[in-house]
Amino acid sequence: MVLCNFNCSACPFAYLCIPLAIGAFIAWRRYASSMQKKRLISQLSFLFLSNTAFIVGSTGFIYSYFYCWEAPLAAMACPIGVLEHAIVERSMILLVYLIGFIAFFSMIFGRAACGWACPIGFLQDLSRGKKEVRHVEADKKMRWLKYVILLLIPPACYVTGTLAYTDICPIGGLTATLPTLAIDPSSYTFSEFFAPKMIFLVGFFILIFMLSRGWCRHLCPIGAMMAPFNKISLLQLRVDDNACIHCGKCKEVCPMGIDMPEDRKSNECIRCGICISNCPVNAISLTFT
Amino acid sequence: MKLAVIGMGIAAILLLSGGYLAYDKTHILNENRCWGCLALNPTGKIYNGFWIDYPKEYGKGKIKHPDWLKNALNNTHVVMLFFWYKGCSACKLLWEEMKEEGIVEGDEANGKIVGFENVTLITIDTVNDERKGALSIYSQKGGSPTTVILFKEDDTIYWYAFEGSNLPKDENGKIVTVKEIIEDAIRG
Repeated sequence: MVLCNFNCSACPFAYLCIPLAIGAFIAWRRYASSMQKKRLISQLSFLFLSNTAFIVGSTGFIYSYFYCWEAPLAAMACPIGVLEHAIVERSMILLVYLIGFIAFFSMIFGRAACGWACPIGFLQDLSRGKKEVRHVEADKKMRWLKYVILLLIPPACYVTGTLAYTDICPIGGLTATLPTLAIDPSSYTFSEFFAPKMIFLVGFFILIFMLSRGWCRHLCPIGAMMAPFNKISLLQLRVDDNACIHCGKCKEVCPMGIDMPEDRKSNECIRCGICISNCPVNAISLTFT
Repeated sequence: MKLAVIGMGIAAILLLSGGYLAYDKTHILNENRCWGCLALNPTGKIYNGFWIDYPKEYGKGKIKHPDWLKNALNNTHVVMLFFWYKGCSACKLLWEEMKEEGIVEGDEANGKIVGFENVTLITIDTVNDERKGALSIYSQKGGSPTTVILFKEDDTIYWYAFEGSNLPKDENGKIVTVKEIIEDAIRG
């Protein structure tokens, strides 16, 4: 099988190849240390893995990150989609599968999926929103919003009997609706949810260009699912307090705006390791217990 | 540390049992396309009478109707298939439209045709119904909702299908309602 025929307009896979190439090109110099290079390779491979349905077909596995299962080449299932289907179908076993999956992997890695696997996280690494926040208190309060969204999804699905979040999900718009349209624009018309979806998508883009990891910080319901496990996960950031010189460099570079080094077990930590490579005295490490 | 080990044990049991029992279900959901979720509708096919085989745009060979449908067509003149899914907002929209038009009643799971004699409605849940395989026979893009109307005359099965919640249009661009298609089918 020839994977690339160099005719992008006739290839459903092109919309993935192009972002992969652009992403790798832009990001290679930004991901400065060897650990960051590893993270870049991990992010690119997970983006590729998400779209392997052209090889293996779709499977019954779940992603631990945001990628719409309605995407033309999606290989696995979105956790939020499984949650919604479980509520709509009143299916306990789907819920057990989802909770088991999220809990198991989050207890090992914490929120590492956000930093190392999620294509939307990758996109935010490339968009590079501002790190310094003017209204720190407001930013802290806004972080509760993702938990509110997560808690609102089940009742909304229960009451309406539809996949209420998916209907307006901006990530679904970016990874599924737009590629589907791009492959074959003439054979689709927009339905009534297209406009709200695109408005949210524009909002999403404004947010991720204004604020570093703005989507992860404030809105991502999958991040909210995994965040509480950060406190007990096996993979943890460790700070050698004797070596630390309190220079504040780690706090400055943290894309999630965590108060390092005090708040090292923060719910927001995505284990990206940027603080590790920027520490002048090598006091921070990322290790399993 | 002890807590983490116990927690991981419980999570592993949930994951394994959930995976064992729900893998197939998740797989079906994963393959199931719902036009409501994508916020897109396939462009309506032009309605200018019924088909015997696949029309050109399907790009498939000869149609092979499933046996349960052939049996149903022996008992009634016209059969209407409605492929839907519980969570799909586009299915809900189309169903409500047909309800307002006064051709169906009840909810999707056990809905009935009203106002016509010798017409049977078969609703098929694209995830849980055993007959969901028929969706790939009748739809071009394979998503819910898909509406199919069939009738049999002199051992030939005539059929017409449209996908998404957009109603089909005739050659002049006028919208054709489901009621009009059923009336055409009854006339033969």
